Amino acid sequence: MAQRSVMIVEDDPELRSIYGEVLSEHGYYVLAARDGVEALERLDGGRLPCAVLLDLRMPRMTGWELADRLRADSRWSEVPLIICAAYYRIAEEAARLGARAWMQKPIDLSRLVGVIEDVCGCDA
Amino acid sequence: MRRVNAGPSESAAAWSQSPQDLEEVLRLAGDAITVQAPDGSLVYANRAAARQMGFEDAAELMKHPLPEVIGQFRLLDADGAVMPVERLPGRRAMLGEPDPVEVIRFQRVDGDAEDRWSLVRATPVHRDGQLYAIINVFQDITALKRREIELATLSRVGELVGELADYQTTLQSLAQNVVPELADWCVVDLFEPAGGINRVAVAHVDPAKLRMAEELELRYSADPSSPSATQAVKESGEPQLYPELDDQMITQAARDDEHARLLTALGLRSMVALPLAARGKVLGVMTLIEAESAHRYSAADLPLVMDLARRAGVVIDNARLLHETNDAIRMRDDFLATASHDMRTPIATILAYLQLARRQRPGGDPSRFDGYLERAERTTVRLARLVSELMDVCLIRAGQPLPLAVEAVDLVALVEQAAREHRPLTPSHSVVVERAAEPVTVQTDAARIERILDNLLSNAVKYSGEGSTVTLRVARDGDGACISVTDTGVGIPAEELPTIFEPFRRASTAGGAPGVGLGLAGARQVGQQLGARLEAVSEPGAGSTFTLHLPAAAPVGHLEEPAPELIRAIPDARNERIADESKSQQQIEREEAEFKREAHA
Repeated sequence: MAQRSVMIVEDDPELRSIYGEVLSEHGYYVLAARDGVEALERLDGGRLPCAVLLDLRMPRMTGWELADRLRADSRWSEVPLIICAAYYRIAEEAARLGARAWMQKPIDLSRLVGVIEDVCGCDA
Repeated sequence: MRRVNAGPSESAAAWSQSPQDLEEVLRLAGDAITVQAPDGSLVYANRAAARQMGFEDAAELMKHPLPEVIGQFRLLDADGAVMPVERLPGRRAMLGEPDPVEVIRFQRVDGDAEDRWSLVRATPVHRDGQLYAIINVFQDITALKRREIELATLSRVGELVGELADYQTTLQSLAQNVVPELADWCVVDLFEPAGGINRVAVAHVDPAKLRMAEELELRYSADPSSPSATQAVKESGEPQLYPELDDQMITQAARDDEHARLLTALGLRSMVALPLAARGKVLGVMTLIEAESAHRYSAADLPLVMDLARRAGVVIDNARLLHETNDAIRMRDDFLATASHDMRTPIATILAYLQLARRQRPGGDPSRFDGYLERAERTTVRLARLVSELMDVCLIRAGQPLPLAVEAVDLVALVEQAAREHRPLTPSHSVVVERAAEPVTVQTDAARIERILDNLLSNAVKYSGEGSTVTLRVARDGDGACISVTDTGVGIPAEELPTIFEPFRRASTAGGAPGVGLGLAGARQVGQQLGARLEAVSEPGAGSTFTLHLPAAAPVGHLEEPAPELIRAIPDARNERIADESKSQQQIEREEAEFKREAHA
């Protein structure tokens, strides 16, 4: 079975790199983007991720805007979103954006892996 | 010489109490007196009665049948309700009531004169056990009633002070409480801090008239440059009285024919514009206008309407203070939410590095273990800085001086250090230092300058694309020095540049980047305490340059005794710096290389 891929959209370079490293170790192919604009560029023509791990407050294009764009595009509308942000009303926002799951920063790395495995399946 | 108390005077002696004399008393008495026959018809009226009914003398009045005379008026009771004829004292006396009394408000149907109030008393006169006549005495109490209404209006307006309604509701009820007693129209305009005039409330008893005014307002909103009563009050702080507004004045005030037509249709007749002041400041203008009423404003009205405006000023001031307080609370809540948000990111990073480090034990790679711990440590220092900065901003907002540690600082070394610290955080940007060959030394607080620079650098990286260059420049600037940070990012629109240093502001081009602008506001405020000036120039789409101008020496006069708990609460910034400097250049470069390798893995 093909390697599953996860997209990480996170503006903090250290967190982006840490999450990427951990998920790579667990066998996922990681597509990383620093904001919504870059995420759309990487998705376009690339492989379909099994989940998008999404921060909310980011420069250029926020997580909110990106979620709306993905929902409006039939190519990406079914991709599960996992909101991973420090935002204080994250639960409400995750529900509003129709996310599959949410995690409020700071997050536990093993929980990150657990949530991704729940969403993508364990056979990555 | 006058004789004193020596019997009746000559004039007193001339008074004979003859029927002619008594007839004269009746005829010329100040109160209106009428006599009705038992069938209700008018058989006598004195001069005051004739005049009150709008006739020159009694003979003139007597030529008209009573229903026609009464028909000129709408008769209202003390509460302003229409009075049925059965309630008229004369009518009740006819039916046998001994001494009926009623307050009657006479309102002319043609609107040609102001309303008048009378206390009307009817006395039946009997002869041989039969009703012979009814004497009506009308005592004019108009002045008393007017004063009563004025006081009630003032009192209602004054009561608004105690109401904790929202700002807009308060302004509207203020205007509403003035009509129709003291004006047909009441308009409230407030001066904007930026210099404009904002129409905040308009009241009239007739909704149709209000719609006309709204249409006017929409099509011809107040032009601050055109001369107006409101402008005149704003400039002079004095009331402006226009007893008679004629069509010519209205045409002159209109901007075009259609405007003149609409203004004329409102039938404005008399106007007074009053300053709304509180605590020595003119906040706006309350304009009272008479249109349908016969009343015209005159100098005699000024004490009353000025009293009204004074009370209204206090009401508006209170409502504004409440509004500002609520705003401040909301701002503080936003600040707390943002501060906690901004702290969660470094905490997330620290937690992640510690978890990664733990996974290296047992039997893992010792150098990776150390690397994770070091990065956790570095992020902890970053978090401590963020907290220190927050403490500084809290002190500044509380109006307290910062506990500065002023010493000789080489800005070239400081800027290079900042660049080294940022490079590993932003491997996708290149951070370049353009520096003077010589050290650039000023007396300042190194930790605070580092924090300001840290903010500017983070912003520059945050708002510019990957692969772009952020340039740090440090140079002498007269006696002092300047440090600038230039990016090639999204830039800031010109109209937003003046506001970017306000607390919680970000440029519209900033999108949803973390932090609500605490950084720039805090940086400028901290800089000010160091005698430094932070300025920005920007071109949207091309990038921004932030420049910090530092004096040769930071002022230290007001910094003697900061509260001890505050010193403890702010992490020792100098220790942070010593710890950083104790690392060798090689060590730092090794770390950076390792980090980049891992980041790209």
